[in-house]
Amino acid sequence: MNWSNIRLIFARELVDQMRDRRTLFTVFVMPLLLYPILGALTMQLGQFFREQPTAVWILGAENLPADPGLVDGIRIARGLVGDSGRSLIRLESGEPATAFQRYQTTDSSDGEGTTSANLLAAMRERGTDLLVVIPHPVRLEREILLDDRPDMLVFHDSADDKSRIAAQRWQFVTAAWQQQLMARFLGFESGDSSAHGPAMVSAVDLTPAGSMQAATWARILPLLIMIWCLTGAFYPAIDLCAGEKERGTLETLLSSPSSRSDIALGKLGAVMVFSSATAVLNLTSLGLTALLLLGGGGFSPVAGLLQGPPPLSAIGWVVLATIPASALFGALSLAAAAFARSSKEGQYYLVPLIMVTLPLMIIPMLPASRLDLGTSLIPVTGIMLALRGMIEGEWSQIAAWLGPVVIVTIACCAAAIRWVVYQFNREEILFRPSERFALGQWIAEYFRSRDTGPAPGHAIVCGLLILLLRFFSIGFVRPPVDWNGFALQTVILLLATVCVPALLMTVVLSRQPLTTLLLKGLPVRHVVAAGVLALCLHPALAWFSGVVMRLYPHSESVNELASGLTAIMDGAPSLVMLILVLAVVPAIFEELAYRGFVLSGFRSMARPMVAVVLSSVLFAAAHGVIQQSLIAFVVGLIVGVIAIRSGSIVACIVFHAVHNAVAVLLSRWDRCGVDGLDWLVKQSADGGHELASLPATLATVAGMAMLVWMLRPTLAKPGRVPATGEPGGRSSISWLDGLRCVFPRRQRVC
Amino acid sequence: MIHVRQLTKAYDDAGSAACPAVDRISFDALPGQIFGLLGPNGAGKTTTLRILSTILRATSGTVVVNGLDATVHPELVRRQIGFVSVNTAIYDRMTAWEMVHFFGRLNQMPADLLLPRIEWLFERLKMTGMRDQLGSRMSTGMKQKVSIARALVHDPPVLVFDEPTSGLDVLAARELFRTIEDMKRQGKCIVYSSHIMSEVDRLCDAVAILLGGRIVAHGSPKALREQFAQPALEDVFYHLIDSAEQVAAPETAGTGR
Repeated sequence: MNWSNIRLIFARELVDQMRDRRTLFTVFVMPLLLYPILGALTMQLGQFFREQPTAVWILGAENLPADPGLVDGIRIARGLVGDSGRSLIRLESGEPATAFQRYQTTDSSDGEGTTSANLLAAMRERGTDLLVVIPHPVRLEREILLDDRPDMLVFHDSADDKSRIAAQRWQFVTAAWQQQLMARFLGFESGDSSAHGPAMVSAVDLTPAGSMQAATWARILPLLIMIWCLTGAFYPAIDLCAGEKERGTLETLLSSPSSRSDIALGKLGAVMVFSSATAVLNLTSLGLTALLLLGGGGFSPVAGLLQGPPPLSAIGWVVLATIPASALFGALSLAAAAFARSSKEGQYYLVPLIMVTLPLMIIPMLPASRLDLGTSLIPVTGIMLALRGMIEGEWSQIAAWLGPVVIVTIACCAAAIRWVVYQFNREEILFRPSERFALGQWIAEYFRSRDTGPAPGHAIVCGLLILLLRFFSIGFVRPPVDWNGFALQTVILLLATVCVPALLMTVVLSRQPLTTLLLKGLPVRHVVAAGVLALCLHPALAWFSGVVMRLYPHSESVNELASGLTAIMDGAPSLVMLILVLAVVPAIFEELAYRGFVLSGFRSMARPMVAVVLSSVLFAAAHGVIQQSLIAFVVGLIVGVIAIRSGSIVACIVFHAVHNAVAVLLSRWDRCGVDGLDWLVKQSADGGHELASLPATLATVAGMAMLVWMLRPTLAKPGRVPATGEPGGRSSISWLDGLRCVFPRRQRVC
Repeated sequence: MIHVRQLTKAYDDAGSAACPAVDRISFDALPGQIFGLLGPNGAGKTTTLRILSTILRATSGTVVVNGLDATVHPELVRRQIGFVSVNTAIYDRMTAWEMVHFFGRLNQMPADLLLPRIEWLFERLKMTGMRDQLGSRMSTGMKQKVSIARALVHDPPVLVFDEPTSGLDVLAARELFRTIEDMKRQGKCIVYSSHIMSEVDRLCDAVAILLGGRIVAHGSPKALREQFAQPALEDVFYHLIDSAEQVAAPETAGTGR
């Protein structure tokens, strides 16, 4: 053994790997980013853990004792569970116990089965998750305990998540109630809430034969299908794109008369076949194994868990679902592989791909998660929930949302394929070797060759840095308890996590910091126009905000946090201070970062509208709650267009501040003590305030007209943001030219 | 047949604008003619040929192939061209026959024309013995033959060869030259790139010598020899290199580098 040779080879291999920038990123930078980003994603995902209220249908509420009471109108009686628990159970208790006879069948050969089917159908028709029947007055005497006739029949469908959760909640409530009964009438106190009480409760499972089996597999199979399709698509995609680049055959293919999109679609078809085949063959193997395991008399521990092998219909739906799943994962894998210069580099992209898709696969696994408009618009999640509904036979629930699922999946595939075609046109991806990387040289080169403004990579780094700083700040900062603490904390956090990183990066990476941050004065009329535009667009943005909230309602925890903040804001010394802290300060700091540094970075390479979209994505990501992120994305688009049109951060700050200020003002309208403005502001459905219909409509029309006018002319071509005083750095269009003068067309770029 | 005017290609790297890979070159290649692009490594030959084949886009300038603008109609231009790249680039898991057939189908050739055409090509290029051989098991010469067959299968009027003798032994190279001359006799327009002077001197009717992305000399090999009073094209090339270095030296000294 020659140690010298070993050392030489070790050093060569080490240096070789260290010179590969993407390897360095994957090995050293990715772990630093991975967990904070996963943490941030978990926070976003937490919005979907929202507990759904349960609807309980009670027949014979008149047979319940008045004291201690079980029901109180449409809610559980106070004292049995906390307020948040009470809000999770909604009662329908108007009908007498005799109504139960309507659903009972005695003359059929399968009377019990028919009754169950009737009850299930009635529950679904009424939209209730649980049926509680109190057939006779609840007996409280001690000797009655010997009687085994139940005082309360609880019907649920254990194949349905919501019904199962409703049964658990009801069990918890009745246990607490039984304890009160025992304490009151029997003089018996028990610490065990599940102790058998005087009011005998009997639970009845209405699940039809086979439904439980389908429900069990409906939870397992969609996740398995997604994992199979992803793994089945990824490696062929790497070989067909990055592998072909390595072997040089991609150049040959590109020199043929086929268009880039033909080539991308052909490759997608091949990847889909492998992805589907992986899923179907795994399914076949799983099915056969399940048959073997479950066919042995139930001795296997999984026999009870799975309730039997997957139903034949489930297998059919799963095979069908492999088509959209393999198309989606095939397109995403090709997108990752097309970006890679080599197979080795392509392998590294599996982790980010899983990071992006795994949270989407988890959402459908959450209890009571089901297909609706909100979830159908989420890629991967929609397919999984649709498949789950198909296996469970819940056609009535999923039919309406299959269209959005298909549209979203096709849109994602189209976007991914478009990206692949774009990569096939990128010369540095097709023909350039992997870059060599030396830290010292890199830093020296960076400072030597830094440009007038930041590059797109700098913009992305700035966005991620802000995201991580905000994420870490959550762990280190205590929630404020009063207004002073809240105001101080808000300002310091925005300064430290948003403004300072962007300013530092500007100073270090840009030779023209003022141009980069768009720090340029504007005529007063332009400033006023920005404010007017914010006022005009506020009703439309508020409407969009309402739509988002309906699609993705806040979780209880976020609602509690919001109500806590409302209480803190009540302690604000004045409305002016409130607007200063919640509207003006965020507007200044966020605009400097996102429309200043980040947008300038993207503008240096991308088309202006692409730059606006990318900067808005980073702006949205910095808003920790997904609902806010969606709204922030749209606001970011508008402010981005303003930035490009006006060329000044002042217009952006004014728009942002006015938009925030109007929201603050409307939320505090009751406390403003303004009278006689009913024609302008009215009470909204959620108890807040909004602009009255006529002014809102007029403002929206005016705002949209201004926005369309701003968007109408072609935006500037890609290139660096021109320096101050540079030709094309400022246009001189007057008011007479129409509204375009409000945000003068910006700018030929070099 | 091929008209190139003021063709410039600058890659997106920092600093590349100051020294583009191809800098305002113009030339014409005619039917029945072999046009040679001669230059050292990095002169811009491959970049020029990739632009001709529409694999790369020009930064500025125009390329017209058989009356079609390469920027406006890239797919139609690709139908006019058979491109043999510097790397033979054969699919490892396809046989010679499958590979040629695949590219024939990509060129929309009907089956009744395609199969006889492949038979003829395999006969002509002496490939019948390697018909069912997988790409991974072929020698460099075999791969080059398949590559040429693939480029010729749709019988294009323009053929582009990028350093086709790279890695070939002398016998295989001789076979290749015969094939190219045969194509010339059929009236095809052939663009041939190489850094081997003797090849170009012997084969080409017209030559453009590229240095640093620019055409520094242009004409028939005989005319170039006479113009620079050199006995062979190779000597012309050395003469041009020496001249270029003499021009560059004072400039470099002046900048202190």
